[in-house]
Amino acid sequence: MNHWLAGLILVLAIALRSDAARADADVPAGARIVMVSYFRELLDPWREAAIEFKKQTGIEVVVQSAPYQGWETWVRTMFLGRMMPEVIVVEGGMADDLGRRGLVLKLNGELDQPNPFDAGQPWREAFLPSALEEARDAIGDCYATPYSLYGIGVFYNRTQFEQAGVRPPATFAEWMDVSAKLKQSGFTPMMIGVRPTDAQSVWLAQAILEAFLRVHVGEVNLVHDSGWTFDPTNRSGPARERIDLTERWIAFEKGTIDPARAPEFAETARMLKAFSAYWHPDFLSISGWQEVSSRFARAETSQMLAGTWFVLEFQKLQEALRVAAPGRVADWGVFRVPPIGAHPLLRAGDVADLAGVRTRMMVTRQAEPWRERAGIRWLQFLTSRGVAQDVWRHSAIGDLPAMRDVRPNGNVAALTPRPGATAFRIAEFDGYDELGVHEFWSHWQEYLGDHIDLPTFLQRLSASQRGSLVRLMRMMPDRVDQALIERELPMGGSAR
Amino acid sequence: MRRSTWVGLAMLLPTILLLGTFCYVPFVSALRMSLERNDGLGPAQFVGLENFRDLARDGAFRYSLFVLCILVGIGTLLATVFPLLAAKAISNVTSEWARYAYRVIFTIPMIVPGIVTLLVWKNLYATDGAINRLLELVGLASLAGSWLGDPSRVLMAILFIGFPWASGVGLLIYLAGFDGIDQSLYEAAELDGVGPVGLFLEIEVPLLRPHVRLISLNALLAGIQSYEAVLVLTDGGPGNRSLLPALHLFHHAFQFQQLGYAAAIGVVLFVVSLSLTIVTMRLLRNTVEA
Repeated sequence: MNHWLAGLILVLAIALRSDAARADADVPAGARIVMVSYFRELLDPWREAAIEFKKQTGIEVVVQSAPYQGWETWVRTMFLGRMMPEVIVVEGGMADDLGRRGLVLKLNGELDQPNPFDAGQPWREAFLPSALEEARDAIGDCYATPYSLYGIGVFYNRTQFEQAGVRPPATFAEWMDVSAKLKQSGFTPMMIGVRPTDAQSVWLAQAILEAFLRVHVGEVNLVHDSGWTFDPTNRSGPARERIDLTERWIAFEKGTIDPARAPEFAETARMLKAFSAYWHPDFLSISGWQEVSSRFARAETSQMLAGTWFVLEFQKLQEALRVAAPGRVADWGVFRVPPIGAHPLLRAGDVADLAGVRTRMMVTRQAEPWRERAGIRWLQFLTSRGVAQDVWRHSAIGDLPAMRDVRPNGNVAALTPRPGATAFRIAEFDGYDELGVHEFWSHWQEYLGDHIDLPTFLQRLSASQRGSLVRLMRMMPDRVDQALIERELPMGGSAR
Repeated sequence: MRRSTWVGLAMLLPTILLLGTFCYVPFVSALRMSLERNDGLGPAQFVGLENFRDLARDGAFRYSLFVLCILVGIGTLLATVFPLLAAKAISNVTSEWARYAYRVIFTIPMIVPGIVTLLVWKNLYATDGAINRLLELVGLASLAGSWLGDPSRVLMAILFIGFPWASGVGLLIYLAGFDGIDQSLYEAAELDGVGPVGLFLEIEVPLLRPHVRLISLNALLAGIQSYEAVLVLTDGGPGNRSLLPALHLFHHAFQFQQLGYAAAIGVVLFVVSLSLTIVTMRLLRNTVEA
């Protein structure tokens, strides 16, 4: 009964919404824009929302899907062919790259304007502040609005844990012991594919590296608000501060975040290498996360890293398995990635902060300005409180909403990101641009596959990351503070 | 010019236009692009030979050329020799019905989509796949392991795809070649007391040299240009150990948005293809003439 009442109130709220949301004056009659996404679980509720949007604004939104596999290549190809839809939905740092190239709109100003679909309150108020902060690039520009958040945890097979006589670990060292016991009991403790199609190893490495490097934030974040100080123990410390390209370059040249010179990189790589002894032995050829997740569902591995998005999908998989092979349905649970504990290099932080913005929405640059405005209106509509709550209520989405006051679906409490626990992202374990990341995977595979030693891996990673930073500085010369570089690196770098 | 010549030219015109539009214009445009820094989105910047200089220093590209030599060299040999042996075996079958059946059996794999074949092989190569299980069954467990994840095995594993390499167009071309050999030559050889090996090496193979040339050139060019198998199976890994120049081109064009650099790789590949084609044709022509 309560659901009916809530639904009725929502319908009334939408119907009575301010008429200020009507289309801008120069939007032609019969205007039609396209939004493309690979998030299948959201397509139907977005299409429902598009019907209501058309009623209110006269603008038709066609919601199209694209395959998840090769999504980034698809987006780039569409840009190359000048065939971009008005709105695209992506995940990860792709928005920043497209923004730097001037292909998508900068939304800084729009976020300060009232959202006509949300009782006229500033658009930014719709979002969780930490999500909005994370959606910004290194110098504070916002090219994409956050839409959903993810949390990552270790999914484990309770049955295999019980058979091996182990329990979810409390520290990273315990996690290694648990994995060893699982292996001794004949199970594959962990399934990870060391390929760009499976980010598990990088998630872990990045989280560990972030924890190790956290103590250096104060010395790396050279340009900051007056009076700002960094307390590594304060989990929300980095909020509103960013490490920009110039600061990264200086830190790299000083050695603080240079893989070849910063001991934190070596330690992170060593830890992951030790852990890889418990991964499925074919980790260099496992095709990707989809293979990993389906093998976990078939109880072929005891653990895998997955996120909030996987909860509902996994429940569905289990329902199907119950019908097809009732004996193979495993009892499963989730625990947070354990903290490193008393590791000598660790001063503060832990590795439980595997959480952040997943889905981001961008408006592409268009030759006709009305298309850009219609795209922004559509995003404002989708992220308005009533519509967002409706989407979450009627979709099979396990991820958490990035909007305030919107309740999540599913049993994702174990993975819920803690508000305010934003990471500084002081350094990247993989790379700073697409080519750098690609080169990283090659070196990472060689190192984990025992074909190069640690110093060689770090040297190659260093050269690759340096190349990434140089390319970025060439691409965005206006974002490079040459005076600061000269002041901080009077000898031309390599101070550490 | 005679009227028939004009009619002939007019009939060729659509083909010339299509060839020009879809082959020569892109080729010229790629040549121009190879001299630019171009992400395909913003304005291009002329950089002269910088892309080629970078390419010469690109370790991954140099290694991809080595991988290309291995895969194309051995792959061309396999694609040329095994269909020839299979065609010889089929042509020796006396029963018409059995010959027809063998032809069908060897031809059916051609209609299976390539991607399906690749995915089947990918499953066979898994550590818990059929190949490793078979090795364990026959007591060769020490040979079992990661096939696509082990840098020392990955090229061998890729080459092994398509085993026994006997089906496909090559086989049909050779069969047609065997059918075209004059029966009187066989009778003369029999009278001269030529054995089966001698018959094959001294009479049949020399007569099939045009077919060999066609098939080997086809395999060579396809090998240089294609990268789908590597893309699906390993994406060039582990650690670039199966990276091909064409895949390197694909990565730079569509993942890193470096169209100028990708075009430079394309130009180098074109030169390599052209050179190898000329060398192969000369070699085979010389052997025919000899």
